[in-house]
Amino acid sequence: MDSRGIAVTGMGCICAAGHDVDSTLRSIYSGKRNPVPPSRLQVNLDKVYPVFEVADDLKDIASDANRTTKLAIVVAEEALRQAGVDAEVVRNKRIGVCMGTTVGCTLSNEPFYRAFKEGSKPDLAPIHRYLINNPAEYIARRYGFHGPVSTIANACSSGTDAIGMAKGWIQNGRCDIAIAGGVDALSRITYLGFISLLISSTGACRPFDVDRTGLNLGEGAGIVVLEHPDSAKERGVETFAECVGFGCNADSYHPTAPHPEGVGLINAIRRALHEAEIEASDIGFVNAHGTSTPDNDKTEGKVIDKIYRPGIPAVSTKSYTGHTLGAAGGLEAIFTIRSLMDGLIPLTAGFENVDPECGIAPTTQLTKTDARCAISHSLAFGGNNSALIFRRSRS
Amino acid sequence: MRFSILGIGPVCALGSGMESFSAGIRGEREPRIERMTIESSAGTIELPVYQPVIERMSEFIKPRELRRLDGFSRMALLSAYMAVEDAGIEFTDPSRVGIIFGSGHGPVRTTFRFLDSYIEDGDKVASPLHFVNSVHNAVSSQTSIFMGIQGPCQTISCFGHTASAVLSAASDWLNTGLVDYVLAGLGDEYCDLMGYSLGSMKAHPAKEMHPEIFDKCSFLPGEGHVTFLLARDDTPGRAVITDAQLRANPDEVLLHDNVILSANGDPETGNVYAKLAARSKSHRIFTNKWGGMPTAIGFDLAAASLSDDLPVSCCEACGNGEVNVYTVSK
Repeated sequence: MDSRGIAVTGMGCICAAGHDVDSTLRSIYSGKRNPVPPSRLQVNLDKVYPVFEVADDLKDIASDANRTTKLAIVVAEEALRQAGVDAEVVRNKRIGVCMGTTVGCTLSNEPFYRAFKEGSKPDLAPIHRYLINNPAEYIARRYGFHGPVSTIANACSSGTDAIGMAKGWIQNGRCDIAIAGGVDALSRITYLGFISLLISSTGACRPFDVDRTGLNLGEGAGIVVLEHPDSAKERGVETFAECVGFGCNADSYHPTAPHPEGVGLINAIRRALHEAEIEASDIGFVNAHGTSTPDNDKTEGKVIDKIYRPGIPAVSTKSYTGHTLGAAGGLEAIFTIRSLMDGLIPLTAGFENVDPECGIAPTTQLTKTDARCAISHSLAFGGNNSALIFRRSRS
Repeated sequence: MRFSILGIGPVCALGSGMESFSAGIRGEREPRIERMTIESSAGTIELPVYQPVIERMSEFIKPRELRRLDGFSRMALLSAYMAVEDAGIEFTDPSRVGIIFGSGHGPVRTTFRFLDSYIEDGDKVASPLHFVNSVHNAVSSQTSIFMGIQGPCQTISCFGHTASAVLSAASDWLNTGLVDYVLAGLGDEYCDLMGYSLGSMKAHPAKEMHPEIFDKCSFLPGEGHVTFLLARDDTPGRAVITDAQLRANPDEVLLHDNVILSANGDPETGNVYAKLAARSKSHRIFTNKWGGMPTAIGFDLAAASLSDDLPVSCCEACGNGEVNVYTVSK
């Protein structure tokens, strides 16, 4: 195994805060956010649970793709363009695709299922569409990539896990370049599901705040182009950062609640630090999972307080994107990298008052940083915990 | 790709556990096939479906603990316990054990039960229990919780690439020293909507599977889960996976004398298997013992590990005219 850091040579993102990486970061650094009642989901509820929507209907993107896949295509185009991956590179390099998602690989078309239940014998077009819309498979087919293909369905840590797995592919010689990240569109299934669990908020989310009442769902996609450092050097492309550490560990505790002491998260962070060959004190800031649910923020806050140096800056960028589920890890990896590059950590919108049970105060203003390394956390249903460490490129 | 298979827990139409599975491979046990009546767009049809035979569940999981689990999780968990039992080992450090499960479609019955909850009773009363069990990683998470495993825990869902992604990750985890053992599981379940879709695509589905006929549709759906307990290749076990050729050209792939084809009566992939059959000295097909599912190669690998004539090349069409070939050796 090659233990060097893996080069990040391209990034692409779309979310409620922006339609590409630059516009998203400009918006996030401004501290503004825009949770709205869901405009594309028709629901019959007594209360409104706001979401973070991507404004664009994406009508001009691939007519055979569903909304989740369209989001992935938009960001793949941006990331591949930035990384200079053209037809010649596709011919000469083994390129893999590893995508995280929750709804993107689920057989769950509701209108089709309703018609089936009613016995009206619906046309099979939605089934055919489902069969060609697995996110990683679709991207690999669209661009003619011949490397490994995997869609990770590990709930809310899927995007982080996808980047971690792709990093391993490159280190273990399975491919030269990997397109990795996460994607999810808003859906009635996840919207009603999170409301049924009583962890969605009727107001804008407030990560780590003592008065937080739950999460807001969001949609989007975030993809990084990972590349073996020798390949990046040979192609003469810019390395924006290096992915130097990944850890993933189960709590083995509860199907929906995190372990109260964050056992799995601590193990995942330690594993990522070990892989990066650095100490916790070398971490300059934390991009927290920070969903704004009572349980997540309490556990994660305790772990941040315990593991890292006192007062380490921690931000929850979900306060700008909502919880984008499978996309979250991809988006937050990009925000972490850009914060390292820009020397700026966003403020955590919605946070006002410290929760003593969390034990931390996230950023309350746009904060300058000269950090070399930063970490992004993800916690998922089922008690999965993942962490990615990025190092700013010297160039 | 390189690792040792220490234990196997198959749960399929032949039964649960290696004893039932071996008997089925030898032809001493017939698969359980239920004939479903489907109101398809082509009219009322009868669709034979391979259904798992669940055995010995109560030896591993208390009945009251089962109440929290849906059928897919129960099947996978039984399979995982049986793989560990088959290996005859106990885990001493739960953080040194990883779990990686893959499924082509995931827990589809529970997904539709969740939809039923709000379609029938309204959006306000969507079922939280069904929602939690409907996420793809519920199965691997429940396994980590029940078995006390705290290593990496991942779930893959990528149709024909599912098995290769699961086994590649397991191999990497073991060979980089991340963990000492991996529970690698592959499985799928059947649901009524799949039956409707299959019945509507093919007005007259086959009465029985004939996967050895590559150009004629005889696909019948199956349901099952197989878990492998894996360790590094220097650990003695049932068999060793010594190599994998992934996304390979069927005209160029290297084959051993003994070949197992995961052909399933789907003519869309039949030409891949026809090429492989033509190039192999000797090939066998077992899919008509457990039915068609995206992760059926798992059962082929289990069958290969029972072979007296190793090495065996196990082949699965993975889409786009490509094939994954796994070498199972002594």
